[in-house]
Amino acid sequence: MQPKDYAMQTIETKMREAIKDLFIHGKVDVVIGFQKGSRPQSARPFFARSADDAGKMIWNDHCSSNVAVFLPKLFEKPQRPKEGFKLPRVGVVTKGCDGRSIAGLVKEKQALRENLIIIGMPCGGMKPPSKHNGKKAADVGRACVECVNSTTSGADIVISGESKKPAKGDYARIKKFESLPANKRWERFVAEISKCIRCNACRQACPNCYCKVCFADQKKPSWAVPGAVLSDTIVFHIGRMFHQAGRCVECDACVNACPMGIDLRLFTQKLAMDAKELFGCVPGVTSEEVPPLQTFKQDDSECFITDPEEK
Amino acid sequence: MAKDAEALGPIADGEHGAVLGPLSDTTALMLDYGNFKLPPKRRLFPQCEVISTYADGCVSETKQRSVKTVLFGIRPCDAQAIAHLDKVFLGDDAIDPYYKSRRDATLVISLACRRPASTECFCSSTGAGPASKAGADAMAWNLGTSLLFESITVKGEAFLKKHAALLREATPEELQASKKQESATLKELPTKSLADVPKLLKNQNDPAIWEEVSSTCLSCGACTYLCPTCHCFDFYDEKQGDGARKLRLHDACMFESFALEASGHNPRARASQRMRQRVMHKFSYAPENYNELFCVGCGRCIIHCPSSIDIRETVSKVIL
Amino acid sequence: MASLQGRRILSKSNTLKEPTIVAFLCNWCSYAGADLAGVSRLQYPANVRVIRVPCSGRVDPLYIVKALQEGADGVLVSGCHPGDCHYISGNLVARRKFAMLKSFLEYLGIEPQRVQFSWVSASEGGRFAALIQKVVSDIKNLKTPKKFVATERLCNADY
Repeated sequence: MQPKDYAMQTIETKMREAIKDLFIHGKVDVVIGFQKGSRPQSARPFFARSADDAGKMIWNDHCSSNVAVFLPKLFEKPQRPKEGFKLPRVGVVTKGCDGRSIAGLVKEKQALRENLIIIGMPCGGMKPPSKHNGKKAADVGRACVECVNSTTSGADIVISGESKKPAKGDYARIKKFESLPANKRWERFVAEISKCIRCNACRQACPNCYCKVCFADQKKPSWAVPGAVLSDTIVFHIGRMFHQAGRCVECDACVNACPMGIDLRLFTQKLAMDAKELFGCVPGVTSEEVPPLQTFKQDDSECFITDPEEK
Repeated sequence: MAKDAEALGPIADGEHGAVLGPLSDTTALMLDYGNFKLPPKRRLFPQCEVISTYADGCVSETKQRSVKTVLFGIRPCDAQAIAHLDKVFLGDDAIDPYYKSRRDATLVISLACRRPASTECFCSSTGAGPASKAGADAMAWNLGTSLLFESITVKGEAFLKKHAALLREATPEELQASKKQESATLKELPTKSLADVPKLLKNQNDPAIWEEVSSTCLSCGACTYLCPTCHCFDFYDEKQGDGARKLRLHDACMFESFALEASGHNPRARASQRMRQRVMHKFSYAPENYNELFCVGCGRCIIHCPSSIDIRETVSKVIL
Repeated sequence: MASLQGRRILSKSNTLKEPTIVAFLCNWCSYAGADLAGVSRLQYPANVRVIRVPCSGRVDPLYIVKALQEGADGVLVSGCHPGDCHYISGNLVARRKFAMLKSFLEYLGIEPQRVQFSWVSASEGGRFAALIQKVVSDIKNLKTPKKFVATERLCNADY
């Protein structure tokens, strides 16, 4: 066996043991992790509900989905709770990105930290799902190459192993795109968004998109009619991405979910870069109490403000 | 072909591998391609269509497009899906004029599969197959050194006759080769048939099993929008200055708000209910209404589901 | 968005005859300042369509994006000076939001002159007039046509 496979195997075994243990001692109602996918060389999210289920869970470099996306629904209180209703106790197997998402969800009260048992895994980078016949499948997703923290801080159970070293976090690709002339940038943006079929996979896969009624589904007013004109689709994407401003953890769940292979990261990362450069915030890493757009500082920059009396 | 009709066929695309695009003297035809992401049904049933416009106090229906189109080289599963959609849109109760005008003007020449498009193909299980003739007017076989054409419908025969100058009679060896190709491809495909599924689904009423198979469903719409047989649509009236236009848009039963009623009640508020509806529609209601499984085994939903939910597994778990 | 009557009614032409600027003005400061400019008979270009909002913090980024989509040549948002907000901190939260929005829209390729933010107080009639002069001349001097409007085509492109 290759050393890497062996290491992965041990990590997987340790993870299964930890999860089995949680079920045996009745500490959780469900554990979200991964199981083997039906497609060759794939993994997919899995809800384990018993110690036996724990034995089916896997850990390898195909575990790219962001499992935090399932939390808001699990912690949803029914409108009229039945007698003795209690929120479930949920275990989650997390990479760094999942952990950052969870930190955000807890901050925004979409997940209850006391009811969560975070099992922090070592992550060496994940392969994105292979579905784009034209492009060569990357060995490691771009999100993983550029990831600045690959393990979850504040995990309840830590499974030890080798993790990817943090990247520079210099947003080089965004800065390079910024240096292009404006009409070239718009052309690229339109070219990417033109591929969109409004399936909403990006929105549904994003842990931060938990609104009960998405702005794109509203009819009064109608912000972005689904699938009609390209400009509506552009409004959808600008709106959806901007709703992530200061919250996006750059996990690429949206990118991996998109069946049309739209390079959303080229745009979402700009918002993440601005959150860091303007407000010193890296969601899930820096430990501010509220997301940056829910607060303010007296000395926030005014350089973008138009001053008509300026000489 | 391109002279008197719009010819569309598989052409290479850097982003997506192969797309159904306009053929011309300069575009290279891809005869060996993994299937398109977007199903050819979109040429007959587009994602957005203007049905009518209202301006200056009167309503005018959009003049129907009847540009002659040849869909060349689509896979037999996608052609079979078109046959299924014909039953929906050109059925006895009501004929959809928008679909009809496009369908009448379209000639379908499918390309038999030399090999499965992906590891997720299962046309053999759904009553289709790598050389299924349903939905096609003519079929082509890529035999390596030659392209074998076989007419299926009267329309297809007329087309081949029209271009007889470019064709010659096939040799017995070539006919043999096409048969060999079909059985070779079948060997690589699953043998399990799903023909019994409608019967086995009829009495499946246990909500728990549906909860289990849909636990990781994100309720996006990728599966429905990429499915060659899915055909749900919605109407949207859009203001245009002082007037308006009525649009027909694709819709997806997997969207949370699909069945949402004006009162606020949502009969399919849970992902499990929507999953059940989708599986039942394809494997139970459609067989009842149209005598056809509304799944052609193209595998797109399996490849593109963000949670990698596999409809084959779902079906095998829920049948009694 | 009831004030924007119907879709696509704003000028779609790419030749900048007279640009249309949609201005979101906060009720307590900027709208009052605009009123003062009017009462004082200060001349400023008539290209502005004003939408009164209670506070600049009320302005949803979607309003700005939709205005551009519907054909506005430019969008202006003006509120109270920081520290003077009628609702104490509405404009302070807005300041962060607008900083990110402006940066994002510029990144996508929309000209910075098309979406502008300012602070005008109730007593600054002259400042308001100067602001409108500046915004209108900025937009008139743009060489490039409205990009957003050019994407208004039916998504029938299929492959």
